[in-house]
Amino acid sequence: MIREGGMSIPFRFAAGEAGSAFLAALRDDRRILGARCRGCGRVVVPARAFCGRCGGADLAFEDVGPEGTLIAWTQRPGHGVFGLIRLDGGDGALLHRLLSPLPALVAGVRLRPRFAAERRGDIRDIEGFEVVNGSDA
Amino acid sequence: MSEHLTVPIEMALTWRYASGSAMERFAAGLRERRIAALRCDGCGRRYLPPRPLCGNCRLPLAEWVPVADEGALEAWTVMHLPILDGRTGEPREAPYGMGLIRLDGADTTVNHYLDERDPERLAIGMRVRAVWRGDLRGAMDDILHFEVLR
Repeated sequence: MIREGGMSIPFRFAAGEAGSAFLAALRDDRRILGARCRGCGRVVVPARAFCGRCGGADLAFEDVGPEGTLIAWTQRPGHGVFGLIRLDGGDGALLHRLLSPLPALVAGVRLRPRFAAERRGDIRDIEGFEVVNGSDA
Repeated sequence: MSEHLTVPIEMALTWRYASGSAMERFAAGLRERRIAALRCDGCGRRYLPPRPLCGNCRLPLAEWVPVADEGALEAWTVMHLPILDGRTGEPREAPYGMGLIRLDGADTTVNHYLDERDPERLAIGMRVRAVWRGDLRGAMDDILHFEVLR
């Protein structure tokens, strides 16, 4: 006998100093905040309190994007398409939802964020990324 | 930086639980308001809920014995934190009573809700009786809670 079960677990994620700055910038100014490591020069996105590459804790917030380049994507049937996006001026990639139809989504294509009208300080204040018209990979 | 944000997140977990043959037979009995335990041939211990092996003797268990839907309270507590109810996946309204109940005919206890939440009116050894759901489904929560008999 197989029993189906389920539960939902509500919780509040504490974003921390750097995470809070990142989310507040999205919410208040539609800016995407990275953090530049003064030790190794890497720009981490979203902004973090320390550098994951060199371990340095001396970072300065700076804007990245808002446009970027699609690195890779995947489709989750019933849930949409997700991509790794390297934002201009940032290192690494941001995982987010892709809003443009599949044929336009090839690695290297240029993307821009679409912000939600009502923003609450949440990564979903960006609804997703869409292909910049006229962009070719 | 002064503002500290928290992000509300709801994590949905779903699963498929393979109950095994002993639990399957036990659950089928519940649908007819029958409670049965498995008795160990070696030490005589009667397990409720049933399990395939005796924890004392490591012998496979096969002998089913009837158990009443009444028993004695072995331990109790009053919960004030509305933690998730594993049976529904929703928080249960606090405060509520919980007990370890040894049903007549079993040697182990089951953990279940009580209809009493006043600590002044709960005591170890109290007699309790199962309150059954109207539409029995063949699941552990066919017993809604236990009422204290006074």
